[in-house]
Amino acid sequence: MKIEIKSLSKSFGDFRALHDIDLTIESGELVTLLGPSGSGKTTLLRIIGGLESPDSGSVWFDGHDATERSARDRRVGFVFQHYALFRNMSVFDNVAFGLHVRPNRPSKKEIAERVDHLLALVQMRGFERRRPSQLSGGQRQRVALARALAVEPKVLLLDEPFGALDAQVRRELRRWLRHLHDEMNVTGVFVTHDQDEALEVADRVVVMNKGAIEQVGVPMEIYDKPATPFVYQFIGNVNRVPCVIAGGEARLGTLALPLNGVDAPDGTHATVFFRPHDLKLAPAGGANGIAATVRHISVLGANVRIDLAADNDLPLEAELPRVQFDELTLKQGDKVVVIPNDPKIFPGAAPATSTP
Amino acid sequence: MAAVAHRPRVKAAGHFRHRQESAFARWLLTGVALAFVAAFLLLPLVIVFVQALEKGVAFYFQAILEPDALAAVRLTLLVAVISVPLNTLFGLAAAWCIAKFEFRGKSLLIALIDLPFSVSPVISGLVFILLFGLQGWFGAWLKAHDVEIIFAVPGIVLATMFVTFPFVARELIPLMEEQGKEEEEVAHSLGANGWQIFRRVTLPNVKWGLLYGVLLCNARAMGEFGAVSVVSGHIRGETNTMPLHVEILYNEYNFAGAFAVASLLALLAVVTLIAKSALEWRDERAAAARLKAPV
Repeated sequence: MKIEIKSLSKSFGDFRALHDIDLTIESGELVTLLGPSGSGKTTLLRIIGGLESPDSGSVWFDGHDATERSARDRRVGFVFQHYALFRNMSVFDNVAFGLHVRPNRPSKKEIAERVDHLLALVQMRGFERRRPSQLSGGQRQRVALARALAVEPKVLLLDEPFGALDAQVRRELRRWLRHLHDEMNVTGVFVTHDQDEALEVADRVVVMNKGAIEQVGVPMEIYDKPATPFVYQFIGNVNRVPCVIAGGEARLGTLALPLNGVDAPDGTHATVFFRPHDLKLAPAGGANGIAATVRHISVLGANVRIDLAADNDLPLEAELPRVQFDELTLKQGDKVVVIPNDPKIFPGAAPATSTP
Repeated sequence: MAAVAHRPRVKAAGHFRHRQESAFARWLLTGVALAFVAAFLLLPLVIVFVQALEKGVAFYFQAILEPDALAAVRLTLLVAVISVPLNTLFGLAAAWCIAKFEFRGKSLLIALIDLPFSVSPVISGLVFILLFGLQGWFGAWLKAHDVEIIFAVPGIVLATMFVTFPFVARELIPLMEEQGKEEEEVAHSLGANGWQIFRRVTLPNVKWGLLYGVLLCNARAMGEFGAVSVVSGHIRGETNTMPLHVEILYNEYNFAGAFAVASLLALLAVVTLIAKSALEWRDERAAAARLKAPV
């Protein structure tokens, strides 16, 4: 089912949770809403599901205005971070719930067959008579998923579904969910604050910040071509170096970078962003670049991370493949020049670091 | 018989075990606690039964089966049968809307629910006299329409309901708030209507807390003295509940009779206590089972 969100806004008292959101989610797509806490991603999910109503704007399902439709009639499946399994029911009854409460309830046999099929799908066959309290976190979440799928939802809404699980289980379930989604042909919206999860699971990623959408794109686009400083910082590591605009160029150490259409008049400040793995290091004096001193070297398996200090003790980070590093023969205290490969210039001073 | 409003929740047993007091201190504290319990709770309870049976079993049953005593028992049961279900209904509704919804004036509602706890029962009774008594706001109208509230059964029911009003709600609100509303939201999105959500999800989740609240509510409804005393008028065989009847007998120096009826109330207290302990024991076992389950 195609979901269209049109100029949606929502406030809680003085707190503006969502501001003028426009978003289209294609049928069958799996989209993640990625952002720090308080960015409005969960509120947007709850509005799509009908658990919250917007102050203004509308939600459209397959071209029909569904803004006023109750959650009961939206045919959405919800999966929450803390599972929200019915604690007083067995696994079987949990999954069967959506079928039991139907006005034209299927026969007992049909329900049993359907539940069995779903439990097989989530690999939880044999646990029918267990209580939620007797299951592990990963098992609970799979039961929650089976329960949501039992009513054959058109849309699956997942609110940090793996947030309470440990890293190992999380990675497994992530991949498994991706496979499941490909088989099910259901539209999925997945909320997370974990960038790896968002990039791995999604067809498209919607990066949100302070109630607004910063960027929408396929994972590679989000990582390689961040549209805003926020996205640059939120996804992956990044070096940020302040610079001055002069003569239509950004002056960075002994480098002069072309502006490439960035709107920054001469004499203003700008910030250059580049990834730690997307740069070259050269011995001091050998090339144009940002002069820096090697502070610390840590070997991380195949890669080496080098902590550097530029002028004014500005910390920089470089990540080089082992081979390249060995050729450089660097040691602590060495003077080097940092040459960014594909720097991106944003007008204005660097925003405060956000902790994802 | 004043009931305690909050059950100590048994969680993580042995949580304080790392604080090892000296053996002497432990024995002293335990001894003091036991001495208090014996002196203030156990001894009176024993005395009630000893006094009641002082003149023999025959007299005991005669005192209980005397018509006025039977009328008092009947009235007490009637009051409980009316007020406990109504307060259960109210408590469920109040707890449901307080725990599951956000609205203006919520804290005011919570404060109001606590009002009967914070007001002396005598005042509660007087309020009804001021409202429905002959000199009260509605007194003239009620007299004109021949409706009796004060010094009659309706007044007793009203006063009892007022006093026992918070028990169920107080028990359920923290429980429901702790459980959150995600299960209800999931049920809603799975297509359940309001009644189905309540019956299949919310009610089963709070059933033990509810039962516990009802027990306390019932114990207080049968045992209430102050408020009922003000509105009852003490008409023997008509508007005397068991606690009031005990007082009358006592004032007439019929000690054995007074204690015989009192023993019935005490028996109720004991039964309530046992039922409550059984519920807690069950709760504890469920918690232990949860802990043992693989996570």
